[in-house]
Amino acid sequence: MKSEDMSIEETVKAISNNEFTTEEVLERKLSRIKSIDEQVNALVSCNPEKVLQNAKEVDTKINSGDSSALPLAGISIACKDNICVEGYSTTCGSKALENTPSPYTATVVEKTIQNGGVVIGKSNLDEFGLGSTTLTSEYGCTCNPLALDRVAGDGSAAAVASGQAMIGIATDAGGAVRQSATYCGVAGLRPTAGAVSRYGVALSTSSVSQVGFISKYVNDFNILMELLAGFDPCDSSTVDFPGVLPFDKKEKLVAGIPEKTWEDMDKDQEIALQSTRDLLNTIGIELSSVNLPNFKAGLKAYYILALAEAYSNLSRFDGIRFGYHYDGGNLEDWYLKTRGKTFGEEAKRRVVMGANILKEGNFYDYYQKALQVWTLVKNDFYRALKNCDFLVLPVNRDLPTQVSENINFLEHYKRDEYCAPVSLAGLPSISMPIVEKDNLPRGVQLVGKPFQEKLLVSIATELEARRSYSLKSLV
Amino acid sequence: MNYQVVIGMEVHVELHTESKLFCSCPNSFSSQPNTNVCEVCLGFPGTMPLLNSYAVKQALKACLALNCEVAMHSRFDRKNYFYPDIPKGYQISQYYIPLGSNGVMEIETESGQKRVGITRVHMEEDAGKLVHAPAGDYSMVDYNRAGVPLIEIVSEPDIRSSEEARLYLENLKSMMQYAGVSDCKMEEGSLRCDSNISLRPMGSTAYGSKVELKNMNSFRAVEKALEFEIDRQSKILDKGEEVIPQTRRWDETKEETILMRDKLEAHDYRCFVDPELAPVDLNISLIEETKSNMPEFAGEKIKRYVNEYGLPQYDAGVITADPDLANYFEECLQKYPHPKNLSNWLMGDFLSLVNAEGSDIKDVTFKPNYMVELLKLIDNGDISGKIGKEVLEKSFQSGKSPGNIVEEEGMQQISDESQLEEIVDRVIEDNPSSVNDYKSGKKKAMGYLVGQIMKATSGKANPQLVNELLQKKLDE
Repeated sequence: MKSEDMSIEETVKAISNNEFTTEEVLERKLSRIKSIDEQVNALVSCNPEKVLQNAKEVDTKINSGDSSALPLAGISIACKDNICVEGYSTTCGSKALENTPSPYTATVVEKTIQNGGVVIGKSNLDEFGLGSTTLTSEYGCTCNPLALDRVAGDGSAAAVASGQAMIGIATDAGGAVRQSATYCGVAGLRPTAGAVSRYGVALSTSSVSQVGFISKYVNDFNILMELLAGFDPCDSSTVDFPGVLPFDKKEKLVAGIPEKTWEDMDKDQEIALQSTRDLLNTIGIELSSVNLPNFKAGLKAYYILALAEAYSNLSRFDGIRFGYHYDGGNLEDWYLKTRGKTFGEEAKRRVVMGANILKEGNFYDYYQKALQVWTLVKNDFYRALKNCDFLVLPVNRDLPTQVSENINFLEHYKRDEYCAPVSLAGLPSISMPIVEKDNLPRGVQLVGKPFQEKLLVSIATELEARRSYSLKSLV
Repeated sequence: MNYQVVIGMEVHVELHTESKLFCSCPNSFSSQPNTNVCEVCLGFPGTMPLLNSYAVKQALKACLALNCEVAMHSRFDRKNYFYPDIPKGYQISQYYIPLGSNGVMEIETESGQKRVGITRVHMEEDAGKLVHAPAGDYSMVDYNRAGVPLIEIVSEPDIRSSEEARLYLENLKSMMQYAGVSDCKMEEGSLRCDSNISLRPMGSTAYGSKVELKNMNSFRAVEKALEFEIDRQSKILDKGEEVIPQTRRWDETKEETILMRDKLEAHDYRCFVDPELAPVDLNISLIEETKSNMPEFAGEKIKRYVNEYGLPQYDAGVITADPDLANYFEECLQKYPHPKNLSNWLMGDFLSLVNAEGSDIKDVTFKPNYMVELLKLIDNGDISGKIGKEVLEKSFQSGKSPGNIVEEEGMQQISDESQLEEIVDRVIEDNPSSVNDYKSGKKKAMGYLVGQIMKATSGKANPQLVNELLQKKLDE
């Protein structure tokens, strides 16, 4: 078996059996990056010397002792470039943060490195993470490794799908992790809210964003959650729980299938759902219909919150303490020029809309209403999950956008229709491709009860073994 | 025309804590610029605030001291605006649910006790400080203060004169100091105050247009600014014109208030709950514990000093004005139960030495045990009161105990009769004209002779004994 096709467990085992060294695995990743990333543009930055140096350090540790203490040895990580890694710039895909080395490392990355993982590079994203196409990145769009004329959604998904990294660590507010993973034919996990620390992650939507993972194999998520989840004193939203809840294999699991929730679903998305239902049937999971009456309002509520928070969260990018700035004659000029020239169109749009939403006179009609809808949406999910073990939901409205296509921003926002309500509910979700249509993957997301990532992984593993979609050899 | 003055106060108090409100940077005043900073208080990408629970306890103390209702469940909100001294483009504050509300403070005015309502007490983070270049062509920012925990105390418009405003501030400062909430040093900015003032015709219940006063750097400045404003506004109203709602700045050198901006352009801070901070949930036991640990405040102490110790009201007021002095006094009293003599020494020579050094009472090396030692030396007749003052100064400055100083410098009082008699005889012999003056009825000459005896003994002679001996010899 080639190291490229291995899961985390297989890689770590091969290294501990001296089949290859960490340095060798990382070298192969670096050469893959060299040969392919010019086309894909998954990474914003990559420092080969540093990567190899880190890999050697891991090898030294392995040679000097117990390799079981390094359960991520040899694992290459693509970190979305809104996640801080000391020594790397965290550009957030914006000119505003060009050449701004992070003075510290995010908790989730710190834990990854402690366990032997190596950051292979920082991956592309929409400016400040505002979107799931990378079309607004200062560093150009990331192309889908399965169809270069289409977007990948997120640089880390493209990096994993094209073999430049084994694992992607990325953020998911309205669905970036889940949608991009499916766009690129790999799996994505958005963990339960509060499970994984977000300290060191530059978020635009603090209230619903979570750090998620991307991998070719869903089983990797178990290992990642075990090692990387848990309470972090630096992130007040994290909880003290003894890891992911173990999965009790019950006699009969029940999958909740929402009814009458989506009127205008894309035909191919419907095929992916149908195929999933059939597969669940064959593995003996009972299907039960559930009702999510407020699901459709979730998207609007999500965007109101996302816009309002982006307005506030992006205020610190004024070029005074860090980042790019333009000198002005006076303070107002400084702000206007710096923010005017470093922010892209979408970032500006969100700041302006967010400021409007929070304005006196609008606050109660929009922001306060959105908070109420948030509660309704969340309650729907919790009610539905009382009678079943997990839910099966669509993930993508459509195929990934054509890179050259010029789409109205509202059409982009609509792409979060199936993912954003799940984000509001704060529930764990795994997205994965199930079928293939027109040479591109179409998938579903499995949504579970809080902290039941393991149950989702176990079902997703069964689906992975039986689905018609097969992992591609890439461009 | 006669107007009623309506004043409300907004006071910011820096909480006394080890670290800042949302990070572990030290909360200390006199550091080099931008040394007490980290990625959190500089608002670097990816950082998140983490609430300092001790700051919450300090704020809770302030709320309870001011008799506020305490919110068992409060939150932090973001107040959004742009200015270089706020690193995140918003200030974290408690806008929607303050920690304390509906409190009351009592002040002692000349016309009796008065209650001033406390509208709210809320926690927030301080901003950094802008330092403007002398040439005025650029400014620098010092973020040491950014993130320092503050409480804002907003009063009801219950204050009716500049004097009441000063009393309110003095009492507030004293309470915060006694509770250990803050050192309240206006000169270091750990207490800052703004004031809202309007006038209305006597008997009217509707409020007049309000002017906000800023930049008052001492309680005296507050008093003067309010007096100036009362005068300015009454003149406007007397002319039948209307006061324009404004924010005005007190100019210390010109002694007048100066227009900063019109109030009409009220800022919309677009406040919303900070999604990065968990709600603040208090439990009853913490509140009960804080209540039971509440110190005795100055007002209660004054009553006790007057009733139990028989101190004059004035003395009690001076001693309790500084909680450290009151503590010093009470500590001395345990081993030296003569309150009035003690208060005389504390208010007099001790305080003037403290003030001359510009030090804090709790930092002086002349501790209560030294004071007790000194007073006992005087009471036992080992040294005279006059020498005692000298010993105090020397001990205060050197850190040596009063007993050591007396010993080393041979300052013991001469109370040996035969030794003194010899000196008295010699002085009488050396000053025949003064002796004659005395005998011919000029009784003042006695004072001169006493002075000569004291001079001959370097002031160490027991004055009472000298008087007795001299009198006896002269009358022989």
